Amino acid sequence: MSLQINNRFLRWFEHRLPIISLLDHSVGTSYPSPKNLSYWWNFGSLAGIVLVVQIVTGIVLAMHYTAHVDYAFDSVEHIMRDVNYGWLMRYMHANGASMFFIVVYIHIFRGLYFGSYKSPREVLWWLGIIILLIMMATAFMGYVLPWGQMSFWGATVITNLFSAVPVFGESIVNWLWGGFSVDNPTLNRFYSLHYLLPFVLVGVVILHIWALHEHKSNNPLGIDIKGPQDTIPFHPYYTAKDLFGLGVFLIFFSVILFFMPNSLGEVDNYIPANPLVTPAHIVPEWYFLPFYAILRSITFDLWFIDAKLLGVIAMFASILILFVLPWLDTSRVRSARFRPVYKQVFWLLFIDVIILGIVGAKAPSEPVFSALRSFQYVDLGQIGTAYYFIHFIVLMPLIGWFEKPKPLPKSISEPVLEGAGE
Amino acid sequence: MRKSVLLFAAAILLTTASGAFAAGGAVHPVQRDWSHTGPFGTFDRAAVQRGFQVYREVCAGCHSVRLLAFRNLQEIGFSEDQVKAIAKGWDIGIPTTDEDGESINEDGEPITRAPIPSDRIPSPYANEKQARAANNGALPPDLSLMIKARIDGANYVYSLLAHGYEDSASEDTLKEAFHIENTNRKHAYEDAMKQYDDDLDKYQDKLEAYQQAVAGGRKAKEPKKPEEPEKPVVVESVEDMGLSDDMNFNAFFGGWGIAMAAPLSEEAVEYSDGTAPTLEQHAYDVVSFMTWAAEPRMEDRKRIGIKVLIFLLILTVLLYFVKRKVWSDVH
Ligand code: HEC
Ligand code: HEM
Repeated sequence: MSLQINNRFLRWFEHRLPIISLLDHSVGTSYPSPKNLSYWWNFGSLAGIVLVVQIVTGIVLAMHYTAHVDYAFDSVEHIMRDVNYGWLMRYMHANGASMFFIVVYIHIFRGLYFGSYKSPREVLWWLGIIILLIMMATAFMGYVLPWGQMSFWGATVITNLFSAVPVFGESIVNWLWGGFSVDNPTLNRFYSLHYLLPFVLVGVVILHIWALHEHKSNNPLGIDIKGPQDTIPFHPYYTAKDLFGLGVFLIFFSVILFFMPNSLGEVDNYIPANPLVTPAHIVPEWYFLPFYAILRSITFDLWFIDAKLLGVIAMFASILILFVLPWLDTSRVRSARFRPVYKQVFWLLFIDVIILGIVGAKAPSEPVFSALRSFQYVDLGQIGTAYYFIHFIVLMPLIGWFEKPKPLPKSISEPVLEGAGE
Repeated sequence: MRKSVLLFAAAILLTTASGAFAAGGAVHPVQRDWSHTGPFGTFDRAAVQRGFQVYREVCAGCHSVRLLAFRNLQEIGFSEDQVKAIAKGWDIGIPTTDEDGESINEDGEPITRAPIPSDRIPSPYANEKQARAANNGALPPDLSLMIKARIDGANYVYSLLAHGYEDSASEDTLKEAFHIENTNRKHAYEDAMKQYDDDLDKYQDKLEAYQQAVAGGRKAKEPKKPEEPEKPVVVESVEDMGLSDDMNFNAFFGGWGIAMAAPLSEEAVEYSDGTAPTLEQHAYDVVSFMTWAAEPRMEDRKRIGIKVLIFLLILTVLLYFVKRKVWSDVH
């Protein structure tokens, strides 16, 4: 299925820079994809589109934004009130960050369900985790830019985590801040990095797609492509499907963007930052809540490690553990469709993460049930955190060994044989 | 799968159960119908204008709306001339300099000029110190973003102004406030008692050690007996809340005591359009004004949003059929 270029100029150009065939091999007729991808496979391209939306709106915002503690808050309000369609750019960007995380989290859980992290896609999976980490750093620093109360106090709490590092903790924190508290130097460097990191992200995304194309997409059956009968060209099949998915996504995005643009944010961020007034509850944006819950659930020292440091370690470990997941999962079968036990456990993990998210939003000492006041959110968080790690460290290896997978279909093109899947 | 669905339901239940509990230290705001809510909601121009009048005649003495310029008032239906007149007649001038470049006159007073429409609406106080000095140490916050800076902002501020103070709160609201406070006090007392029991145990141990030391002729410090926590007063009236003198009870304000005395009352402002000047009307109007001030582009947003949604719905249906067509030879 090689590409035919009919236009003479394009042929001339292609001979000198073969970019047309590059595109064709990436998202065109020359990229063979499994023919059975479900709608769960739409979220990768959606993530890429949201990244572009963030960069475009971000660049427009940057034209009107002032990174100075005295002007940042007002410059954002200037964007909201006086700049033509500034409110649209700002709401797109702020809610776009949430959309980015929704899409990427679905994308990740898709990978967990269908075993997309397994051989030969480990490096692809790693690059995905690196993308997640860079996204988190970018969103965290972006949230500081409007310089509201939650910007300031969120930045203070999170940067302070590094003070848990033994010996060098305080020096690291002062170095991050560029001073002795979160202040103008901090705002400036966060702005600089917030502008830079999305472009680094683009680079890693290209590597991610490169790795993807080496072994092609996984698929709902989790079995390898056996031959051309199992594939269809990416274009027009998946371009059409992705465009339809994009339409549905944009409807969802628009409902939030135009009719409830502040529902995902914290009201406190409409109060200008004030280092002298601490908000009653300092909570991060929703997409960090499960990790925040893990951080705060560690209230005890272990050996020589104090609770604070241990919390920080647990929080980072909760993401870093994904790097070794391809080896923690001992099953030879990729897709949960053929793994009766893992399928249940997958949903338990999903629920666990939701519960951790709820815990992250609550004050730790608040009782979970009014009738049982001694059981507080911090306790629920500890159970949730323990389960999270048990899932990866204990259940994943054990289930791989003991589970009896259902028989796999012979190939993608004849999946109906032998009662495969649902 | 069924199991997981059940578990998920359990998780949802868990959250709602806790939501019902999270009363905190304030009554849930009264919910009013507003013209600005919902996907087609628009500002009630007349109410916003009246609200501006309430702001100017009552709140402006203490609160700024620093993000608004006079010219913005044209967006809510004031004419250019009206805006000019409003600016010119404003109590507070804009700091400026005279021909010699001086910013203070012979008496050391700052030199000011009358505002013009392009000026931001001046703040009543020159700085935070002055604001606090004039308000018993409390700081009247800027009102431009107030509605967005509080959860359920419009209903909250409305409730605060019209139904929260002792004189304007309903019997039910007061009862609820007392109930919440009594529950909080009961829980605090229980926690303190638990702590006290622990402390008492520790004290007994220390006391024994101390007595042995004394009997053995060694020197030791006598341990201090922990104090038993006092039983909390049961709240049956606003007085029982035990607020300090410069605080005013308000059922919707976290912690019950607000430094702002009830700013509105019946007939606080005289309306020229014949609207009945009730307390509720004043509160409704000023909140309408503040809602506009917090997001003057809201109407644009919703109007464009409806168009975008209609476009996207049609486009997505078309894309669906395109997808079906493209895939027809695969299935
Ligand atoms: C005499 C001065 C004064 C006047 C007049 C006044 N306020 Fe206030 N207001 C204050 C002070 C002081 C506070 C701070 C209260 C505190 O923090 O305890 C405050 C706080 C507030 C708050 C914030 C409550 C919160 O949740 O933190 C709102 C809203 C408010 N005022 C609205 C109004 C409106 C609307 C008017 C006009 C109808 C008005 N105020 C008139 C002094 C005043
Ligand atoms: C990975 C992509 C990006 C993410 C996830 C992201 C996320 C965020 C977030 C969460 C905020 C705070 C929004 C708010 O609450 O107001 C923000 C603000 C901002 N971002 Fe980004 N951003 C991204 C890319 C960019 C880029 C590429 C630029 C510039 C070229 C940029 C410029 C800005 C500016 C100027 C602000 C401050 C204005 C404001 O707060 O609305 N962003 N970003």
